[in-house]
Amino acid sequence: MKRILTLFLFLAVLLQACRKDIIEEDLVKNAEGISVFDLNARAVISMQKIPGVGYTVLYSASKNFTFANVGSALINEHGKLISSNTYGGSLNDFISNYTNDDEGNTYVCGSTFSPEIRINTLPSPYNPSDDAYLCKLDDKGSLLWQIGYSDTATANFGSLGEIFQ
Amino acid sequence: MVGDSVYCYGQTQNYKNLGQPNPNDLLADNWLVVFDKNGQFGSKRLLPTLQKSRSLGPVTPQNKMIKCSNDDIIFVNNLNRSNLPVPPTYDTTCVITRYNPANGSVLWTKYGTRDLPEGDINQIVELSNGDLFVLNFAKSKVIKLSSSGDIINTSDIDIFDQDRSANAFYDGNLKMVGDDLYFAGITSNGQGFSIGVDLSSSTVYKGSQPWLVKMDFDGNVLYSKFYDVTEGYFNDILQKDNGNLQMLGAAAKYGTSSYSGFLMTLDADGEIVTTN
Repeated sequence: MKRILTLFLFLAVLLQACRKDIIEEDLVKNAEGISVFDLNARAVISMQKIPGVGYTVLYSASKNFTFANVGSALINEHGKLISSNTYGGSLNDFISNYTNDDEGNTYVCGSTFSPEIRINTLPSPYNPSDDAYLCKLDDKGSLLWQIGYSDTATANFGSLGEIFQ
Repeated sequence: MVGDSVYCYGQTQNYKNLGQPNPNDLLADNWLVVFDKNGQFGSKRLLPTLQKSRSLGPVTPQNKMIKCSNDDIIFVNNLNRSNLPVPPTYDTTCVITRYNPANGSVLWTKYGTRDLPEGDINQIVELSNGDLFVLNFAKSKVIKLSSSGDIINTSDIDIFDQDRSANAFYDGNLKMVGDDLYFAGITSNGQGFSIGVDLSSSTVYKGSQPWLVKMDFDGNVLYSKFYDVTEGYFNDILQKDNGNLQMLGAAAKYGTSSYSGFLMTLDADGEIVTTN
């Protein structure tokens, strides 16, 4: 009985591994023309060219498959991942939009639920569950600063939806 | 000053200054919020369109803001039907406002159903001559406006014909690339029926494919192509020095609700280039 169970377990693991190979191969059928770089992303947002290096990729990162963070990856021009970082706080930080300046910096706006970034400490109903979020990344995707914003004097800012400079 | 500051389109659930103490009241206002490049708050201004929205009803979160070549700002809201000048036959329609951030003046406002074809606006770009190119996916319409908001022409675009409830094109990207106009996004089955990726959840829609559409400035489709990346989508597009297109997309990772990124190089006809 024990042998049968062991054999069954082995077959189950083997089947799962084969299925994984088949499905992953199916994800990108024309692998010759597509370069895949491994991210734990909820969504890929944008890329910016860095001459001589490749691209910085802004993405919404999946943190423990539960929360979202701001993600930034550096890839070469062939799509090989060089580095990746995630920013934000301990809870959800959602990306709404971004803009790039002439120096290659990226400004990202959205909303944050992370208490260490939020500034609105008023009680409900004057305190929505999130604050507006703004951060600045340099041309390599490294975080320069991040802030939460909420103007409790006249309005409760829950999000920043669009951005330009 | 535009260029020295970061301009954000902020939305509030505004209980205080609207006198709405009920936390279940979802009346929203939109604001232009200005920060300096060190993240210091500069100023905020209640947007004129949203002052009107107090009587027009809640503003849906699908808003767009673009900066024009002369530094004017164009806001697009898709508003609920209540109290619109001419109510749409469906729930919402668009309102486009051109705004001068230097002096705070509203240059013009155009309402869907009254001034524009009915329906939400999903994508808008400014063309090099100042005209505005607007996509209304739900109604399968392309609308071209002059810089003063007057309709130049409208046309139907069959490939966007779809169920209105599936209007999740906000994650796609309508973009001028060089002198050409592209939409890089997602489709479910290669038949023009679109689905999207919800940024606010980890939902992965099954069976989607990256989709690239090249259009002329009258909305004629020059080509529409799908690519074999199962459960994948395009979200950005750049032009390489040799004229090829560098596409950024994402493909679902097996066994997770996450995506990996991918790069795909295309030639001017949208065909995959296998060597970089």
